[in-house]
Amino acid sequence: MQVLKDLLRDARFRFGFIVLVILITLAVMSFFSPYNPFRWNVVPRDLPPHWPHILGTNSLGQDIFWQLTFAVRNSLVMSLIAALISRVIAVNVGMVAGYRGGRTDRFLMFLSDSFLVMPLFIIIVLIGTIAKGRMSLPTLGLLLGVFGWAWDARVIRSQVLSLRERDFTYTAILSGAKTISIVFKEYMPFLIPLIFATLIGNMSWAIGMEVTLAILGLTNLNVPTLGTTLQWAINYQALLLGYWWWVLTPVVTSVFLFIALYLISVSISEYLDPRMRIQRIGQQG
Amino acid sequence: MNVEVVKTESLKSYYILDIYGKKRVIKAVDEVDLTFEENQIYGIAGESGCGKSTLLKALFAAIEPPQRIVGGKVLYYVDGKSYDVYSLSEEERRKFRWNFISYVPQGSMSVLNPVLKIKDSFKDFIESHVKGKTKQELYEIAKQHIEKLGLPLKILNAYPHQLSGGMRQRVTIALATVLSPKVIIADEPTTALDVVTQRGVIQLLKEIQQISKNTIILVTHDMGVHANISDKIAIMYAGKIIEEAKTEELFDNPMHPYTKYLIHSLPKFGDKERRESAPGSPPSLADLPPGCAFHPRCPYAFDRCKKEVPVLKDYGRAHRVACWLVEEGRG
Amino acid sequence: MNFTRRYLLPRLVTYFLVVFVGITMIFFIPRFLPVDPVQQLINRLSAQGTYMDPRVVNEMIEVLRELYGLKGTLWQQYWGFWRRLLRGDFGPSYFQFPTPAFTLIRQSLPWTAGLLLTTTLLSWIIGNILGGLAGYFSNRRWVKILDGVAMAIRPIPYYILALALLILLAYVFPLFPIGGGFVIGMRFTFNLRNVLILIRYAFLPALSLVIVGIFIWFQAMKLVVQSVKNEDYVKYAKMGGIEEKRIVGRYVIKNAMLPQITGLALSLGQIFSGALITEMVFSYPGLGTLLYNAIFTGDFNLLMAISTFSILLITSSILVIDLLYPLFDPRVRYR
Repeated sequence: MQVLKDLLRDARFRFGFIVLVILITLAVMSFFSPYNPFRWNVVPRDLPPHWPHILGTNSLGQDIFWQLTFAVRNSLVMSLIAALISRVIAVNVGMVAGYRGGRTDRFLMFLSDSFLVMPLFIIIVLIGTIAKGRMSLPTLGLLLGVFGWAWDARVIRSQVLSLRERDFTYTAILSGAKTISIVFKEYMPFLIPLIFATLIGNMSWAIGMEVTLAILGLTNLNVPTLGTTLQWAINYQALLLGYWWWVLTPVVTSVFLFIALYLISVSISEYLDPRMRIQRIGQQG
Repeated sequence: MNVEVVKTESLKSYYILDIYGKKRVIKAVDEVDLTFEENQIYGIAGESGCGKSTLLKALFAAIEPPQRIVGGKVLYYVDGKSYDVYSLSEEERRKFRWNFISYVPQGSMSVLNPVLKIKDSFKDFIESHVKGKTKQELYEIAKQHIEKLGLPLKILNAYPHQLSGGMRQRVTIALATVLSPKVIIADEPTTALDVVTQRGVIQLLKEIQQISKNTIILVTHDMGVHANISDKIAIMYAGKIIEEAKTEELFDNPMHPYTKYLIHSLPKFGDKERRESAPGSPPSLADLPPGCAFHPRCPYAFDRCKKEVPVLKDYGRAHRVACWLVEEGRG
Repeated sequence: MNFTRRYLLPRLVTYFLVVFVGITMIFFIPRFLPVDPVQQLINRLSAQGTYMDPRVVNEMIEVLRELYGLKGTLWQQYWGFWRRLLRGDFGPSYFQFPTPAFTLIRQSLPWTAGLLLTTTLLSWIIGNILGGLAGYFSNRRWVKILDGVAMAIRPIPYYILALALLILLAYVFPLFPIGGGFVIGMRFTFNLRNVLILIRYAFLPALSLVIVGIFIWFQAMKLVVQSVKNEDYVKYAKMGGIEEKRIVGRYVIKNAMLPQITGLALSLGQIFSGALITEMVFSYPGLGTLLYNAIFTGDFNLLMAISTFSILLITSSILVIDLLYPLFDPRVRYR
């Protein structure tokens, strides 16, 4: 908890954290929604924001505010799935590559680099087009998770590499500890903050991909997410017709979400970086 | 009486840190009075963490926060005039660097720009202080200097990573002396080198001093090196100078208990006794004990040592000591 | 030569390997998905209400299978795929039947290449210079302001930024054309007027890419410079009294650039994707718009072609950068 308090001193973290809390609250509120998100025409259409429809209604006859709560919930859940899956892969690859070294390392890094340089967007689009409309949200999460681990695997690997050279590793090896127990018990405390920071970054990426894919019409458009609500708005020419509240809601929410996630991940990374910490200490003298 | 070239008066340099709201003061250099003379190799000895590097940085005026000058002065004596270094502007100080006083850093492994050839590093250093020469002339200056010091010419066209550690150290020494400065500060020039290379570096320093008759301020914890080339030695402990004497005098007649430990830790041929080093470890500079900073480790400490900080006193033969034992003749 | 062996060869080998693995993946993906593209097309046609005689449908399926390269066993298909690929034959595109997919790509490629090249170089150079200065003078006010802006802009995905720019500068203030890359009926001669027209159309997509790009490099460079600033050789140069201007140029930036070059190589995949997305928003006649059309019409051959090309384009660019790197880092050039 001391860590949380220290982090909250950073204005960027504070902002991101507050936004995130608000969004999570919204997501939780979706469980109390009076409207079924999959149905159309449950409320009068195209009403500008005023009570009780505080964000207005759209051309499909849905209340935008309650749609938003579902959208936020679904986007967050999906990105969490994607990020968790890619964490698992990244951590495994990174740890094995960093610890084993040699051929295993080179092979794994080759694999990781191949994933990195390949235009993932194109490949995901390819998959998406062929499986058009049949991709459920968890599947999308799975897909993004399987493709999004490459960068972070490298990050974890370099951390493991530097840990391996430290004295306590040799002590552990010499005292007969097995590889797995070394890697998990000794290294985890160092890796967990790193995992957390990259998790947030990955969530951001996953949501971004989801939005882009939705706009291209490749995801299941019935499920409300930040991307699909935007897609529906564009599809129905919301901007041209002047229904700005329909377009702006997902856009503004996503922008805030991205900025919040980014700020959180940056402030955590900086907090962890010992050199930046020392610099900060010195400057305040 | 030799000519003074650099002098400190009651110099105090602390590190002031602010960690999450808590202020900590590290008294790395505390009331240091030293005088460095021409044509002299002056050695400063002490354990790690006693404040030697801070003192050097303060002497060279290369201070960066959180290190600060909290009191006292550093004076340079150039062409018969004295300059209070910390009352000069940054630009004036810059002019003294390398012309008057230069620095050979600790661990010269990475002080050379990895993307520049050695000759270009030389060119940069020379050009910043000597104006109006063409590129070829600058290279020529570097070349002649390298030759004079007996280093192979082909290193000039090499990149730093192509040279061995020992060679890089020698190149750094060459770099520090290229403008024939009056004072050279060498910070642990032999640490992290193997014994053979150490000898080469020491020889080089000795030669340079003998040829140019300038001053070298040599800092190292290795008493063997001091015994070899220093003319005068000062022992530093916990931010203060606790003893100062000419080399032979110091080795023949160490007065402070700490100095005795330092000198007796050096092995001598034919000696079969156990070597004893000072018990315990040096105090943290942020949390010094009251009175004499050495008293927790000193086997002869008595009451006064625990309460009052000893001051340097002259005991003849240019031998100064800061110790209540010596003052009260209990040594 | 030692250098060729140690540096060049492994990279060439990796290059070919990655290309091979990538293209193989592209080959296998549609064949491993539970959806049959041919069936999908048929379904779409019948959903649109066309009545088709079952025999005709079967013939269609056969023909389509052949056109899509789905005939025969998996091995035969794979072999056929590579053979045709090396000839540049990707089959006819559906969306613009019977134009071969390759021709369509050949038409769109220069637009994308031009856009990518200029925007990447511009944003890399400007971003690095700004980031370098910011990293060095990190306590000045303008740095903190730029930092704040960067923090707001950087996480925004390409699509949204492009959309925002489109709305702002082509809709609300109609300064620029809403889409396209050229005026209809224009001839591509090299006179000033045509060049200006081209620039006018390219401006918004380029601006969108450059803005995001500058901030990405700005932040990365700033971090690198902040750590380089504390390197021993920089501190020593300062001690030696070398002028600040020279330190910033020859000691800090020249060294900080090295990881940035590597970073550029690694980010090319993302930059490319971003460019395609941006093109889509502006209907810029490059690979992006082509991809968009391919997706909407379910044009299998075109999709495969674009994917293959993208991999080739990106890995080749990375190879070029990799080969240029030793020019900047002497540690790699000599032992």
